[in-house]
Amino acid sequence: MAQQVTGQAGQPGGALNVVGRRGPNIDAIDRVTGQAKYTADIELPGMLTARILRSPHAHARVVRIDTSKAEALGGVLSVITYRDAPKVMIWGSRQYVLNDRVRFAGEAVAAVAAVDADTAARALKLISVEYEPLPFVLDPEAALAAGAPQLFEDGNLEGQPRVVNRGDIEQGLKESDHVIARTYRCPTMWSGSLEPHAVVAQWENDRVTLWCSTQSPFRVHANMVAQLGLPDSHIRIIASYVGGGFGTKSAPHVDETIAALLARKARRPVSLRYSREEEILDSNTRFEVKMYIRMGVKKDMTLHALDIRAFINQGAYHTRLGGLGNHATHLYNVPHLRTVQNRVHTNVPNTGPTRGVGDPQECFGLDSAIDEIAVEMGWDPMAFRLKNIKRNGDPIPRAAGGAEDGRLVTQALDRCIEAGASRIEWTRRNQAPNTAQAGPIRRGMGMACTERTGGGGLSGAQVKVFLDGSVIVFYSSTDIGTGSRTTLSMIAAEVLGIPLKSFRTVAGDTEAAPWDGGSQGNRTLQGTGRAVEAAARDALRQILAGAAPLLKATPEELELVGGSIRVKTETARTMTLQQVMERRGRSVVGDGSIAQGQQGTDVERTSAAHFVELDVDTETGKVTVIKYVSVHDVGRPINVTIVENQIEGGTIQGLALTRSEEMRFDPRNGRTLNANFLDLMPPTMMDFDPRAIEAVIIPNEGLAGPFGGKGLGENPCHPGMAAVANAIYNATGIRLREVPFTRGAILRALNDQRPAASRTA
Amino acid sequence: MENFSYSRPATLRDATAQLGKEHGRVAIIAGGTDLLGEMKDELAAPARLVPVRHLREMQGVRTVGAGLRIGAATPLVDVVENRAVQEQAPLLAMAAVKVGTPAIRNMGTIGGNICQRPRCWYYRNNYPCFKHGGSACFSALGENDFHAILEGGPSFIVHPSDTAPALVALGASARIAGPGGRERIVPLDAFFVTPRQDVRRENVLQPDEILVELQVPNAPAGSRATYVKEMVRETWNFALCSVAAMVTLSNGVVSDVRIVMGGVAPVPYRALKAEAAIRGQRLTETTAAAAGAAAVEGARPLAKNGYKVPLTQATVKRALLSLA
Ligand SMILES: Cc1cc2nc3c(=O)[nH]c(=O)nc-3n(C[C@H](O)[C@H](O)[C@H](O)COP(=O)(O)OP(=O)(O)OC[C@H]3O[C@@H](n4cnc5c(N)ncnc54)[C@H](O)[C@@H]3O)c2cc1C
Ligand code: SF4
Repeated sequence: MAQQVTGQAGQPGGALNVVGRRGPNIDAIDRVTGQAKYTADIELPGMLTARILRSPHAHARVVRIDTSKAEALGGVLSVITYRDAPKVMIWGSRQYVLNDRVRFAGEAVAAVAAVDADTAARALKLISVEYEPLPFVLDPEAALAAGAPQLFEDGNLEGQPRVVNRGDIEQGLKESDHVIARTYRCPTMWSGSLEPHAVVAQWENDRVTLWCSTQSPFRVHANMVAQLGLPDSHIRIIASYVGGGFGTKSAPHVDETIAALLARKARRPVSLRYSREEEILDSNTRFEVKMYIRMGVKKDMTLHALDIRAFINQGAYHTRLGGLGNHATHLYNVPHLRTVQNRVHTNVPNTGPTRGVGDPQECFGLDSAIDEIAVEMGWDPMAFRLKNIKRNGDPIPRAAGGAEDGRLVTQALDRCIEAGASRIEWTRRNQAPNTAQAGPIRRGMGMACTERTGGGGLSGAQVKVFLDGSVIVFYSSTDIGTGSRTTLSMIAAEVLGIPLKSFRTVAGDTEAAPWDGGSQGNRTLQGTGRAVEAAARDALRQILAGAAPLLKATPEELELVGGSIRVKTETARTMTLQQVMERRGRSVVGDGSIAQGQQGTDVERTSAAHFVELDVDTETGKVTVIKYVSVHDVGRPINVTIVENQIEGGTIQGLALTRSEEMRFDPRNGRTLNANFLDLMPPTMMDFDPRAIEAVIIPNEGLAGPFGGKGLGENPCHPGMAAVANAIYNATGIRLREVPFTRGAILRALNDQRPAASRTA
Repeated sequence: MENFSYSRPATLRDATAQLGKEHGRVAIIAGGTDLLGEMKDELAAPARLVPVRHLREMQGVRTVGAGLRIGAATPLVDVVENRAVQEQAPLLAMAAVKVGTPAIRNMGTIGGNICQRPRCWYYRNNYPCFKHGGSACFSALGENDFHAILEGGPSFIVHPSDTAPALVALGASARIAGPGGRERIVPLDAFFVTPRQDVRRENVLQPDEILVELQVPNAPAGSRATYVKEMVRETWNFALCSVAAMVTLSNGVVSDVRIVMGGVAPVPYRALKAEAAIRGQRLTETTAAAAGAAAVEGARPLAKNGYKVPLTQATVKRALLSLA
């Protein structure tokens, strides 16, 4: 953890000069003027273009594969198949980069590198593959049934079911005054970013450099060590600018290894860029979750029993980080709890952790059920939540599990709910669904709550101060559009007392920066941010030590403020940082490496409450968001503008899941039918008016992150589905338990609601 | 994409001479917003492309007599912004502005828009269905959320064009050029063909014919018109259903009416029963609703597109009411 240095502005509890302000991203100009170099901008002399041949079958054995014609084609420099690929599973997955058995339609089977994209495409056509199709299964429950097609020798279930038990669930349900049983489902959904996966591989002797579009350079690095069998130091991953990730780039893929293998075989640099279709088919998308929920309450408005049985469709290979979040265990107090999660392999494309991982899905199920039971009991769903949420001092599990062996601290969910209710004017909400209202438009309100952890694991950074007093922050997590270059620089600027304009960053480079867990799971600010803070303090210590003899003082008597070093008690005794650095004659490198994990019994979480007011057009099924209030506890915001942008963007992403973005599979062959933007229909700027979205930050201070900041990135996209479903119910009386809420789903439900005589079908 | 040759005909006559007798071998390319997508997805693999955008007789909007002549190769944006179109056939401008996005309207032409191919997922994923010369319709028993509720079978595509319903409502005709200077004029309601008439094609054009221009009579004096398009998202997608409606009121009573729907049938669907229901009536909530109900009479939805029935009903009703 960071050491304490006294007298500096950027001290916990001290006045803050940089942190807590608004401001643009420090790299905004570079990004909008095209100076920022993304992977696809990398051009190397002699660079080849790679293309991947993909399986049309959802499940098949490759009986024979003949690449001779492709290899003979002029301009083709290398072709690889499973015979060239290491028998090493990709990090976080059961997948081999190329294999003689494919488990989803779209899986890579072979790859070529050629002088240009056309030649590579032509070469793919010359590869002949004989498949032996195998039976396949797409539904996670069906995949566990007796006689289901088996993806792996040990079956379709990943590991053991994850079971959490607290109290006695059956007893709890029996003791409840009212019990509901409901089923909720979120399908496999696209969740990716505008920049498709891209990688450039370049070998120099037995060392390889990979420019790639990843959130987690060191995960890719570790995977390359395993795949290529090279020493750690022979690999360099560079993910400088990344055009979004949303989790789909948080784990290594096939692409990095394929590019490296092709480049090694061709002895030329290779560039591999996914098309939009490939990006949708093969980028670890949002997993399907089906939840069977039973919930029991007591008349005194307490939540008494909660039982969740979930089937998580992991897709073909994904093993890590799938599953629900911790809403059931960490959000509400409930004495009798059981959750059972079956993480199941099926022949749908690879899934993975995408923004919120399983939190949006779990939130949809749980906070819909909360709403349903409150309505049935005649309670205000907000009052019911306020009665049952975990508050400061409440017992809470220290880890993912049932045992409540910790104590919740720095929580502000109650304040989030209260602020949101006041902004949306919750008192205006319909007491009962609006079925009697004249005209086709029904207006309603809904809300949902969420929570999550942040930070965690190992983080590292370095802060280098140059002779001219300017600074570079080196870190190997990334800026995937979250503004981390800016936020991390602000943290260092606050500690060092050096103006922000003197900062530059080198992000996502595994050779330049120390090990870091990467940018996912609310961890860049909370984890890497702490490492940057520590590195800055280390640099400051060295600078003050160097300045002490020059100013004839002890280091403890000095402070660095506004780019100058001065004696605290005699501020006229001062030198500029540049003078000190030049007299010192060498740059300063501050090092920060930290490990974060649960210590002691204090448990810190982040949380949020979302409120939505919307109109449902009961004749056309159209839903229009009138107002959306997203209230978040982020601890202390480091850069208010960036925090608001994160909240707004995540909110829209959550809303998008209510509208479209479902991946549709052909039940006859398992192929994805709508793997393009025209048919997947992700919403555009026209769909959710940003002016209708209000991002609210609750004043708070956390413990784990730098300057009291908490991680945020995941949370804003959790509550949208539940809040909207609850508002649609409040508006119309129809309860949607499956996303997305399409025109078809809404009009069907409205039709079913009508008296039989006036139904259309 | 397969290799192809590209020749630039000097005249319309040259262009028709290059086309040949076989569908698919040679393709006319206008803006290419649909055709190039088909070629990239390997739905079409023409050996030769014949561009038409440079042909003068296919460009621009002219007023001739009591109507407009719109060159088939006129970009949609020019149709939208044209003064004469806005004044003489405002319905067409209202429909054309709903096409796709500004980029599509800048590149895409009005001729290409009415000749574009279906958007059925199976067709676009190159399934061997009727449209591709096969012997099955995969959507009928598969994913059919966006398919036809009227006039479907054996293919259940919907006609994707936004300008087509407006042009049919306006009573437009197609001037078509064939080889050797031959020409024919086909009213648009006879231009489009249902799958029962020809399951592989959506219109009557022969392989060696070019749509040269659209002849659009002026909207009747005193008429009012609107184009309403329901979509999953607010822009950049095809209609779930759309309604081109044009009415003339005499003493508050509908004396003349055209209602043509897009996105619900394999052709732009003229809702004759809805027209009959509203003719001679005042435009009220009740009469408009009755016309809406008449519009979907005979609808036979598939498993997943039943919602289009009430949606279309409501859209017709609202389109009419907006003209009251
Ligand atoms: C992303 C996207 C969104 C879209 N959204 C919409 C929408 O909302 N509404 C809508 O109506 N359309 C939409 N479209 C379709 C698009 O409007 C049409 O593709 C466009 O108008 C076609 O015009 P074009 O000149 O580009 O045609 P091209 O692509 O050049 O041609 C289309 C077809 O017509 C044939 N053809 C073209 N001109 C002639 C001619 N003069 N005579 C005979 N045959 C001809 C071609 O051979 C080809 O088969 C969309 C397309 C895309 C790619
Ligand atoms: S609707 Fe038409 S295009 Fe679609 S699968 Fe059926 S036959 Fe083919």
